[in-house]
Amino acid sequence: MLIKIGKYLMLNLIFLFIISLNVIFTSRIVDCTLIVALIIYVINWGQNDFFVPISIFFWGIYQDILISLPLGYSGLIFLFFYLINYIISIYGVFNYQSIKFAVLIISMSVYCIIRSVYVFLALETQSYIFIELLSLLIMALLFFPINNLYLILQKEYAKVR
Amino acid sequence: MRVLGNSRFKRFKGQKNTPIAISIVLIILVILFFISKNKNIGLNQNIRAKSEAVIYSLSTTVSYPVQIIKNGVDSIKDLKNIYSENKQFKSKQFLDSVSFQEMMTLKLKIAEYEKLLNVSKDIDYNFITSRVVADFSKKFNSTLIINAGNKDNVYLDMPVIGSNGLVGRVSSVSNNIARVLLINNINSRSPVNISGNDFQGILIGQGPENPIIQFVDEIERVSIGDLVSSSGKGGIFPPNILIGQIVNKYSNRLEVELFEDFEKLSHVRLIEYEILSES
Repeated sequence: MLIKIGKYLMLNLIFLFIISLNVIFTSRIVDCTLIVALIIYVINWGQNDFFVPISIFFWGIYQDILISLPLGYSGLIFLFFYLINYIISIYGVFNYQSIKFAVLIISMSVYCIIRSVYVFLALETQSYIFIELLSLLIMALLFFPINNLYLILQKEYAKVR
Repeated sequence: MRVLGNSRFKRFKGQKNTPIAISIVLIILVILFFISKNKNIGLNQNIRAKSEAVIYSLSTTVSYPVQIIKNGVDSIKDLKNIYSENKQFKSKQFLDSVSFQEMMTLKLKIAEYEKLLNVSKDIDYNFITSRVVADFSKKFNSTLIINAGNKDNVYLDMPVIGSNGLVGRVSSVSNNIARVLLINNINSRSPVNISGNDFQGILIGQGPENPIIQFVDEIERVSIGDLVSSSGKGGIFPPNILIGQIVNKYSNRLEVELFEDFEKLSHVRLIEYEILSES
């Protein structure tokens, strides 16, 4: 199912809202970047919407400027999860929730390893692995409610049509 | 021409692999940007300084309803703690008054000695007080946003202190707001003194973890509990501003616990140090 314009605008508003929460919430465990990445992963974007990766990248830049991260850092994370989403859609396993969850866990592990290696080698500092794992665990736990909410909304949308 | 343009657009839109190609191109561009970031520092800072104020205003507006709820919850928590805090303050009141008297006596003595020694007044400074409006201290790139900018004579690299010690320096300024790079930011490197002027080193930020001090000669002579203060070298921070205390000692580095709790900061002072030292 292709994302229609209204729905697409709504999604962008949700992204804006979640990214803006960075101004209020200072917790290290609930990471707004990972929540946006999770939403990107859960949604069925359709396979020929060329503006989707551009807008996702734009939100990454927006977040980087807001919380003073290197420009492109958040965009890279968002696009990584978008690419994973795209790949599982191509291979036709998008609707198998258990496989989708397993792929998410693998992707998160890859992300965690790359991030830890980058932090250790490039920034010459050690990331606190326990907190990192806790924030990833919360992301994994949030998968089911967000995914179920998306599936319910998708069914409602199909009924209306 | 227009019809041709439209058909080309549709063909481009209909391509199945277009999103994946765009994503890969963007990822490659970002990686290239990271690799060549040193060459683009000026451009990067320009983009940030111009867009930061707009983005911050938009985000504050969007998150305003959540902010109201959070403020309400915080007020209830504060009310809950008010009784025990009042009790604590009463018991500390006497001790505080004694320490204040001692501090004032010492200050007067120092002023007298400085007068006798004819010490230059370059460590006196004016300051601007500003409110912290956004706190990203727990993020990896620890920063704060304060509601003072160019219009309040805030400038780049202006030192920032809190009620308990050094906070950081201004890393970007727009008209109304400024971003403060905290001393525990992974990009922060500050020259420091340990236990007075006995040892010197470089304080290196570690993000949300305690910062470390490296490049200390005779590190074995440093003790746990020694005080860490700014050395004044480098010309950004004034000398002798308290930063923290040594809490751990390793073979080539020292771990420092900061006196200032960035999460609890509501106001900071921006020191007009550079202007006075130049004049």
